[in-house]
Amino acid sequence: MAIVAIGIAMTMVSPFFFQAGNFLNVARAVAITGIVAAVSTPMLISGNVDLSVAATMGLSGMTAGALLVQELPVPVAILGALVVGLLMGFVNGVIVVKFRVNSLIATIGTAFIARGVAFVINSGRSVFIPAESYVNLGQGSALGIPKPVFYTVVAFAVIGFVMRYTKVGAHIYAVGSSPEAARRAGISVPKITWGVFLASGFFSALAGVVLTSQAGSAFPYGGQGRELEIIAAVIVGGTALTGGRGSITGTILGVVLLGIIANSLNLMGLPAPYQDISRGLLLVGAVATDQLSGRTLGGRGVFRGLRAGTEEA
Amino acid sequence: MSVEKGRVVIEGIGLSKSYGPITALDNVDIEIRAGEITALVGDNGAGKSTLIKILAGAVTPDAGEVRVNGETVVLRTPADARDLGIETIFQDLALAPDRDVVTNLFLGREVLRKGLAGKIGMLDRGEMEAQALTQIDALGVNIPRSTGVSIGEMSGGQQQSVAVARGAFWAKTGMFMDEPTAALGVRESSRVLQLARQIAGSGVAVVLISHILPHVMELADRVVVLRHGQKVAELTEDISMDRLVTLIVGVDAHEAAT
Repeated sequence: MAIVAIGIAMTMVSPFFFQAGNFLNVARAVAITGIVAAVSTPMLISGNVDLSVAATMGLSGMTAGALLVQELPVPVAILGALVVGLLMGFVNGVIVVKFRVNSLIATIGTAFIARGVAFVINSGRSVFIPAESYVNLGQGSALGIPKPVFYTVVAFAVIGFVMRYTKVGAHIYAVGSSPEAARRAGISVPKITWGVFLASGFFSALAGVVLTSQAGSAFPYGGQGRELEIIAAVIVGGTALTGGRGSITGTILGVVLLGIIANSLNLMGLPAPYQDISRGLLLVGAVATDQLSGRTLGGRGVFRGLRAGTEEA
Repeated sequence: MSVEKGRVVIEGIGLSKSYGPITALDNVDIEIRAGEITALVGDNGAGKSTLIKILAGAVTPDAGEVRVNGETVVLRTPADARDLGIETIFQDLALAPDRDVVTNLFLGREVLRKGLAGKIGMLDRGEMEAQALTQIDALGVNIPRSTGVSIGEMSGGQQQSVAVARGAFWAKTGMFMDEPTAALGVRESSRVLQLARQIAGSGVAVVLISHILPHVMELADRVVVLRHGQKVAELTEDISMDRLVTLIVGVDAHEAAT
C-alpha cells in the first residue's frame, strides 16, 4: 500500500517515475544495499546485529583491488575478497560466541578495525582496477537486467529460500525467538550464530566486489555509512531488532520503498540531504506505527496489508 | 510402544550429587514405572529437581547409575535422554514464542522432505502439520488448530498445553514434569494435569514434581518423598495430606502444632 501510494504521488509529481527505465534506476541504486540487506535479515532474526558489514565491503573491495594491481588473476582476487569477508564473519563469531560480547559492540569494534585496515592497504589511496574482466562483472546487463541487480535478486532468492523452507532457517528463527528454548530443543546456538556471521561476512564481501567492479576502482571508504541504511531497510520491512521475527519479503519491500523515496526526491530535484531526512522519518514512522498498532515489529503494522498477500501465497 | 502398566522402565540406583559442600542427593534409589504417575515431593532443596535432572541427562551424578528398560545408560546431555524417549517439561516454557505450534512441536527435530530436497535441508511442512494436528486432536488440547498463530499470542495454559503436547509426542519411555502448573490458574492447571493422566494412560512413565499436595494426592499412583537429599518414603496407598506433610518436614505435624 505504501509503495503504491508513493508510486501514484510520484507519477503526479514527475512523469518520469513510471517509465521502465526509471524502475531500473531504482533497482540499480538499491542493488548493493540489497545484497547486504538480504543477509542482514537472518542476522537480525537470529537476535544479533552486524554493524561491520559496510567496513567489510570496503576491506574486501580493497583486498580485491590490491590483488588485481599485483596482476593476480581475477578469480584469485575475488576469492581473496570473499576469504576476507569470511574471516570478518569468523572473527565476529569468535567475539560473540566465545567471549559473549554483545554483537552490536563486537561489530562496532571490528568495523573500526576493518575500516582502518582498508585504509592501511594502499596508504589511504584508492586503487584503480586494471582488469577489464573484473570490471565487467559489475557493469552492463545480463538478460536485460543490470548485473548488480541480478546478483541482488540471487542473494534474496537464496537467503529467502533458506529462511523459509529449510531446517537451518527454522533454527535461525528459533534461536532469535528464544535461545534457551532452542538450546533445550537440541539446537546448537553457537553454530547458528557463527553461521549467520559467516554468511554476513561472505555476502558483504560479495557486495564489496560488486561495488568495486561497478566503480572500476576500490576505495578504502567504500560502503561507508551504508550499515545504518541497510539496517533501516530491514527494520522498515518488519524484522524485529529483538530477533525471532521478520522475513525476506519484508526486507525486499523495505529496500524498494527506501529506494523509491530516494529516487522520487531525486526526480523532484531535491538534494541528497533530503533523502536522509525522509529515510529517518520513514524508519521512525514505520516502527512507531507498528508499536501503536499494538504489535511489536514483524508481520504486522505498516506492511500488514502488503504482506498478507505475498506471504500466504 | 505401550508397555505393560507397572513395569519398571527407568531406574536410578545409588544416585548421589554434591555441589561443593552441599549434598543435593545422597544415595537415592528410584524406580519409575510405565503407565503410572510417580510424584516427587519434598521441601525446597530436598533434591527433587536434581534427581529429575540426572534422569533427564541435564546433570551428571557423582555416583550411581541410571538404567532405562533394564540397561545401564550414560546420559551426558538431555539429547541422550531424548534419544531414549525421555522428555522433560519445564516450569518456564521452553518454547519459541514467535513461532507457531507446528514449528514448536518439531523444534530441533524437524521432518525433512524425501530425496534431494531433504538432503539440502528442505522441511516437509505438510507432513509436520498433519502429524501435529493429529497429536493435538488425540490429546484433545484446547489450542488453536490454525497454523501460523505464534505461541506468544496464546494464554499461559495454552502455551503449557503445547509444551505438554510436544513432550507427549516424543516421550516413548518417560515424561518428567517439573512444576508444570506453577505459572497457571486453577482451570488451566487441572487441564494440564488431566493431560498428564492421559499420557500415563498411554503407557508412558510420568514423573511429576509439585508443591501442590492436593494435585499430588489426586493424581499420583506412587509418591516418593525426599528430604535433605535422601529418599525417606515411597507411598502407594493411604496418601493423606497429614502423612505427606509429616514426611516432607520430618516431624509429626500434629505434634508440632500442639
